[in-house]
Amino acid sequence: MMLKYIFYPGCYISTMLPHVEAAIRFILKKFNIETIELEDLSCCPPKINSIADELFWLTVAVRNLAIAESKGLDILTPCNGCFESFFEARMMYMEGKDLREKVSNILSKLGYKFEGKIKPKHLIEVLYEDVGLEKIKENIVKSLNGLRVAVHYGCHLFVVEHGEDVWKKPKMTDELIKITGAELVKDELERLCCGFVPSTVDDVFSLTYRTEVRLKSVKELGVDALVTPCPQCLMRLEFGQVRLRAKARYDVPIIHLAELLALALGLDPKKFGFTVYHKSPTKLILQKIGLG
Amino acid sequence: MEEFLSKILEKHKDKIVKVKEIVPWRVIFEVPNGKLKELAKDVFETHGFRLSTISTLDQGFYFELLYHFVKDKYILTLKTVISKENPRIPSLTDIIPGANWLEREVRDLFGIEFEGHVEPERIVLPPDWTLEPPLRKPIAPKLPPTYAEYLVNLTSKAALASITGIVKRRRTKMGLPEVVAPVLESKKVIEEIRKISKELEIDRKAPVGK
Repeated sequence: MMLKYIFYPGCYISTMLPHVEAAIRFILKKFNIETIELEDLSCCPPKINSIADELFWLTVAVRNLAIAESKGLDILTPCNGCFESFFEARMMYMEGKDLREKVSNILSKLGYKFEGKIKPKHLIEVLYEDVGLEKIKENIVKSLNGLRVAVHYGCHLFVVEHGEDVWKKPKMTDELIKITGAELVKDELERLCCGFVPSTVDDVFSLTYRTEVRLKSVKELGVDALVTPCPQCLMRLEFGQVRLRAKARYDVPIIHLAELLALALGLDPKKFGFTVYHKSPTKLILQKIGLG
Repeated sequence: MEEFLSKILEKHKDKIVKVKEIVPWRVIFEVPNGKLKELAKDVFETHGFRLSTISTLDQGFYFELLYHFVKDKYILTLKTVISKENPRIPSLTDIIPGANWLEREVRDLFGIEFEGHVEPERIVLPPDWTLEPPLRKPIAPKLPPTYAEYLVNLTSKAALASITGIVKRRRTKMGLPEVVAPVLESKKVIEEIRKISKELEIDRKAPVGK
């Protein structure tokens, strides 16, 4: 079956984490996942904008979904925040008659219409459900056996359809990590917020009671890396270590799930800036797996 | 804090949840809604303060009521918070007659009910006023300054993220497309997002929702 999606990397990966985008594109190419990129798409926008203006957030998000639907393709996004925005916008639009009418009226003036025929899919879902663990395993060229990792899922990964298990995508994440040969170690704080969004309200509180709490716990696990599927969590936990350096050195390598998979699938770390663009000591991971 | 005010604080420390000293003779005591009347009675009757005015702040989800008491050089403000869903507070008019017009003005302009008010009539609005209280804002949170600025940028830049020259070069060096949606600055996208903003009357300076 030909896999084809609209690729939507989101703002953070495109602008701040090109090394993560390189890893993602490598994976997509490895499994012959065809993607198209549309110039007409705007920022998702982040669901938190709905606090300020729900209708604006919903209208802009559904506009993006309508454009994707006009191509007849699901949206593939590796960003937790973008996924949550599209997912919840679609759900609210399809379930809320009044809201749907208001949004439809505005979008119709721009020539757009959304009927709910397409869905947003997280990269994790595409790999786990559409590609399949067996196929991924067949393509592993570099086993990460011996690498001990912790995981940070990110708050926005827990959005699901009504009645579904909220742990659905986190469990997929676990399996994708394990298939590389890495050992997954848990500290029961995987559900904790990294502090990215709360930092817009109170940065010091967020750094102290969210970011540092997670870093401390992961450090005590003695793992080789912390893996996350969320670009905002990755940046928060990496930059958080830099900001906390005056107080304590954590030096925990933080990488995106796509980077872990890309290493196992054979991507040359030098080619995608694995040690150049990270703010945490990711070269320690390469040393551990014999690539550094 | 001046000793005179410290004594009031000491006497009512079981009611006061927060103290803010502006200058030693000007302090704010924050009290829960249910405790304010008892404290106000003591301040007025025992310590000889007069109620100068009541000011109200609409903070989106709740109101802040500030009762400013004055005696000689001292200004003692009693501050309380009431929810917007149920904006009610006991009236002080039975103990402080001077609260009559002050409470009626707050009632007119913000729609807060002062329970037990001796004369609950309109005072600044016409008697046949049927519209919403004029100074009342929609129920919405007050956005922190950093976030409000972010939202203004989001709407004014048509929900697009910017991309610098350095990032473009880095991307090209890594074999990635120079730009990709949503960081591609398309005039069409900018125009459409602005039309949506205009349709929804998003005010770039005050991004509080309807």
